[in-house]
Amino acid sequence: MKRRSYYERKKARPGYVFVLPWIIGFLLFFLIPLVESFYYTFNDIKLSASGFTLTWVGLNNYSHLLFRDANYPQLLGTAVLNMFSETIIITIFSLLVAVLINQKFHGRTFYRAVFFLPIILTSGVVYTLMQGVINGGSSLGGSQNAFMFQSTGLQDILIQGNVPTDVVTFITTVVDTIFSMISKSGVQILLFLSGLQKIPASGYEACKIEGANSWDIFWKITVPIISPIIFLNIVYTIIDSFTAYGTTTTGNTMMGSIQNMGFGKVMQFGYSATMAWIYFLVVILFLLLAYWLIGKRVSKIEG
Amino acid sequence: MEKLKARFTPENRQKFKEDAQHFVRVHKPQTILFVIFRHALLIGLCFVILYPILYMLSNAFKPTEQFSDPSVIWIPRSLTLDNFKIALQLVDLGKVLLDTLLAAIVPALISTVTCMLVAYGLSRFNFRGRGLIFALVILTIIVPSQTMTTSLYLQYRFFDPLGIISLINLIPGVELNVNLIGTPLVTILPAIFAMGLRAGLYIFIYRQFFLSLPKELEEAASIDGCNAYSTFLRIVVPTTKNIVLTVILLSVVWYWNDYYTPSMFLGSKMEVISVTLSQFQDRLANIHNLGLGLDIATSQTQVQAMCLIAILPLVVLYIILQKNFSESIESSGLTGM
Repeated sequence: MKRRSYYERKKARPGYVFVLPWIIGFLLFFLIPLVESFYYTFNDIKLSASGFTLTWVGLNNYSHLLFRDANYPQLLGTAVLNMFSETIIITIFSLLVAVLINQKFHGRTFYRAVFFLPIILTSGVVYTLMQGVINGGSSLGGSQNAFMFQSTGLQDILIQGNVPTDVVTFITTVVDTIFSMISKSGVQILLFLSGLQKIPASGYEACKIEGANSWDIFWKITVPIISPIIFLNIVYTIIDSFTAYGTTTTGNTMMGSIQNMGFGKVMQFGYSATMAWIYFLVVILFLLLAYWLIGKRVSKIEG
Repeated sequence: MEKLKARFTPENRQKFKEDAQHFVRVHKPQTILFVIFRHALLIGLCFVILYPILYMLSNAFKPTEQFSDPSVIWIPRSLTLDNFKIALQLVDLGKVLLDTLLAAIVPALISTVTCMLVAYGLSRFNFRGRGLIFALVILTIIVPSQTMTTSLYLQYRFFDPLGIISLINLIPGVELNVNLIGTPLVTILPAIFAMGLRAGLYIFIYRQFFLSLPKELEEAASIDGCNAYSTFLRIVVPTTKNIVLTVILLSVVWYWNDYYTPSMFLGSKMEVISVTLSQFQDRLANIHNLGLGLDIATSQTQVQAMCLIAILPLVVLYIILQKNFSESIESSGLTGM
């Protein structure tokens, strides 16, 4: 890099002032806790009134979690499977919705307002309560109007129609999870829509004059141009799926279990930190995988 | 080419013309069909999204006994406020709102401001390490907060920033032990240092906005003798109205709904809305067991009333800010590219 002139360096100086609070915050509330919690994974932590004591246990926490804990590998598997299905369905669904509400027609303002509502409604406890109601009602007895989607009837019809069992299972899973999928795609629709707004109308017109149909235009113009947003959305969905709210039995059970291990009745801080760290490494693994599979191609398209 | 020329005989031309007319004739109904299909699909999806709200509205004002009445589906035969009364007996709404204001709304607003400052620094000043800092901002989005919970808890429990408290404790006779657990500072402090809830995402959004903003205005201001800080305050801040309102909306909503941080670090001293809501069913079950004559299957109307109370402020905020929100998606670079 070229050595910058005195004037250029002087001009850049206020930048440090703007960023300084973040640097302090990053050290205090991110880097130090992150390194500490990594250190805790090799320890047993006991809490007392005046402080806490650490006992070095080496890799015990790790080996116990991976080879002797009955629940942990299963929790990890569930989290990964959920992440896969959510990422695929949500990305496709939100792209479809964004393309639809990006078109010019009467009432699109209304549709837009409604499709961003999930951002508000479903980022917390209300969502978990409502999901119980909508997907069958855990605490409800015999109320007929609570069930919105019942795939059992659909399942019967499909099986009688000689549809392969795998396909039936897939369709019923989609129907059963349609509410949770829609309610998790608010931010993704937002990101896609703002990406689609950037595509100039002249590009589409040129294609139409050349005789391309909508299908071609979608695959040859829309998808390549918004491919960075597709990648961004996939990354966002992976993170969102891995870090969603949950208890030990509902929602994101991994998050619930980590919380329960550290702050429930057991208070196993070291063990809880180890659970979180292995989980974090898995998250990073999948983000790298996503980058390797998609991100590289995106940067190629961008040139 | 030979083939192509051969096709342009007068008879073929006539056929092409008929084909074209045919295309126009069939294309119209296709378009009409597509429009119908689009509306049907969108209305269906909107119904799915609005279902929870309709369900809340339908049940929150419904007398409990009509909940399990098969002849009442959506519209209750009579309206009642009893569900809200019971909900408010169980929840001290004044305290909950005050605590939520302190532990959620205040950090949400602080976060909106501090993230903007950081993003401005990152997008307008070409200082050394800028790329690294932006990469670290992205890292903070990726790492699940649970990874750090243990050490953050211990850090708040025995608060000692940069060893200052330990230094004071070196003075003989002084035994200082700062415990932040249970105070709103556990959410406010990170927000002040632009490390609040989803702060990385806001920095990202702001940065994309600033990058899409033309530089000329700021350059003109600097030629006129404004320094970097007054340029920011007088020239840049006034242009950010829509994007700031968008971030405020997202930030308030996410802090309001956040269950994780308050349940970890606020303990039972403060009652924020998300934690209260999650405990509401248990509280209801408790009073029902005390013999008030209701069983849990019929308590759903009260749960819905409480849900409605919990989301009402957010829906109002969304309706107010909806216009700015859509505008900022359309005009500015919410994502950039």
